[in-house]
Amino acid sequence: MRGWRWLAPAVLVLLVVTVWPIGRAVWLSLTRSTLTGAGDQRFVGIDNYTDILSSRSWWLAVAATLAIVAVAVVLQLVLGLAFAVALRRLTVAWPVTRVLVLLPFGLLAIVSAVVWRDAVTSGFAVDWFGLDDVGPTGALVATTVGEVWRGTGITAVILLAGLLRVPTTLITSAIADGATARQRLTRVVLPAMAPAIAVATTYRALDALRILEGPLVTDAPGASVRTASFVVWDTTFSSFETGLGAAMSVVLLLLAGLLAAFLVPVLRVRRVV
Amino acid sequence: MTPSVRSRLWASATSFALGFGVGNYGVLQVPRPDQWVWIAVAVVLMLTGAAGVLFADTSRAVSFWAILGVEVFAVFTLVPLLWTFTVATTPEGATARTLLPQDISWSAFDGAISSGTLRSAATTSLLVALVATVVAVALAVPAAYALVRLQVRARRLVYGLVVAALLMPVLALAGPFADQLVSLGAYGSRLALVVPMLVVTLPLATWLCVTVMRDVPWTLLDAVRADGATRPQQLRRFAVPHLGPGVVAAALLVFVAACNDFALGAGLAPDRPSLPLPATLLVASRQVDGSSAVAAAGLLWLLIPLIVLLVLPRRINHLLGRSYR
Repeated sequence: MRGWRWLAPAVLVLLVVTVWPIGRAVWLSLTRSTLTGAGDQRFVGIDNYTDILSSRSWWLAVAATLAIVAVAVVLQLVLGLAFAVALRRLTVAWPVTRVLVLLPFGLLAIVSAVVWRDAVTSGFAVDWFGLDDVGPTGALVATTVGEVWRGTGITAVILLAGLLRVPTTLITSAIADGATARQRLTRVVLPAMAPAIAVATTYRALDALRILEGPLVTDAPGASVRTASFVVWDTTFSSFETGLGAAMSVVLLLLAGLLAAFLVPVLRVRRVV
Repeated sequence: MTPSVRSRLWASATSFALGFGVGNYGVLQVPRPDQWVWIAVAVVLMLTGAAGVLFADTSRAVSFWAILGVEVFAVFTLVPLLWTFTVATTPEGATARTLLPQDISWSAFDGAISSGTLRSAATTSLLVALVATVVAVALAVPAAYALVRLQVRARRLVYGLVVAALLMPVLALAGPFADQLVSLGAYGSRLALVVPMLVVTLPLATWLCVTVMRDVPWTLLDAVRADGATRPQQLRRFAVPHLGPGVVAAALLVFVAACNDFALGAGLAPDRPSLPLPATLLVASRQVDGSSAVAAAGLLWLLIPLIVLLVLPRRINHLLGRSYR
């Protein structure tokens, strides 16, 4: 048990900073309380949960979030894989591409959301593609594209690392056996890099689930599409309904857990320390 | 490995067709001056196609599919960055309407540097991120060492906890944390942000350090010990050269992630003195001429990850790629 002496401080701190607020969220979610007036907490049992689970707008927000997650992950995977293959073959350009590929990820998400929103509401995309008053939904789509743009580079880096682990001898012997390009892709390369694809999918999906900046900068009164994390934010920090917001947070955490519990066995994500 | 003639011809045809389409759309639909961007991209793509035909039947080991892919990658990455620059350099009172900057004014950059609000926000962000990173790395290095090197019971459980904390929607914790800080009376102080920030930094630091530790040649340590090196010698001759660079790269990544965190900082700080930079930018984006201020501040802030990437490009890519395995 010598190892636990090294491990204990980190695990303890991690448990304190995660389990404590989650426990507090569960407790708050059973009360009706506000952020400003801390005095008037009232225990209401599971009323907050029944409010949320029977609310149409919450389920619409969840559906919109899941749609955004699906589209963003698929786009990032396809683009990331294409870029990873290209970057791998063109080793001459590595000094430049290595920096370029991670640069969008370094830009603040809020900045990317603001400029992508401006691009479709008043900027260059209006003239380029003849857009005509896209409204809050169009702006939300644009910020989601911006999020895809930010995440594609990191996805490409993950997939490139997976691609570099495909043994060259395997590919050369496939060529020697007369495999066509398509056969090499589907029979050799993709199976060999399946773990990397699985991990990239899971991680990017859970990252897309917590997109908050785009919905925040595109929200307008009367917007028809909202995302789950935006609703949590709005309830907690704009209406200051801490109790309801905490219940939504718990549901959001459960949603993330369910998504992970679905993706991990389906994609066979396995990773040993 | 030389690609076949047929594959090169297909790559040439694709890139020529793509260039032709882009050029036509640009000439017909896109007003000047952005037309020049479209024409330039079209010319480059069509030249790639022509070069592909010329070099199709040579033994050079160059793949034209890869060249096409890298060109698309460069356009995809650079156009939004150029647009950010254009927004940032738009003169006051004007709205950027074209991708190419029309009349460049640096006033937004001047404003971002001299603005007291942004400066105090940047100080808050850097200070909180620095403290949270130092604490997290100090805890994470021994933890990662134990996870990789020592026989620990419930190792997978601990690692699962780290990954779960890493991927958790942090926003869900912002409300309870804010409530806790209010009841402690610490709502709005800079240092109160450090503890919640550990939710972001500690799992990330542990996760990256595990990758660093896995790449260390541990047999060398055994050899050094067998040769009778003292503790300080082990530290100087083994730990610093083999662990140091990886841990520094991991710490830099954690620092950048903590600087860029939005949800916690925005939720836990009510107003100016303790509001971190990303949250301040959200407030700024709602003001008149807000977009160019936000874009300018974002580009200046981008210098931090850019410097990190330029100093350790290979190590950062390696670390990120291998961590996600």
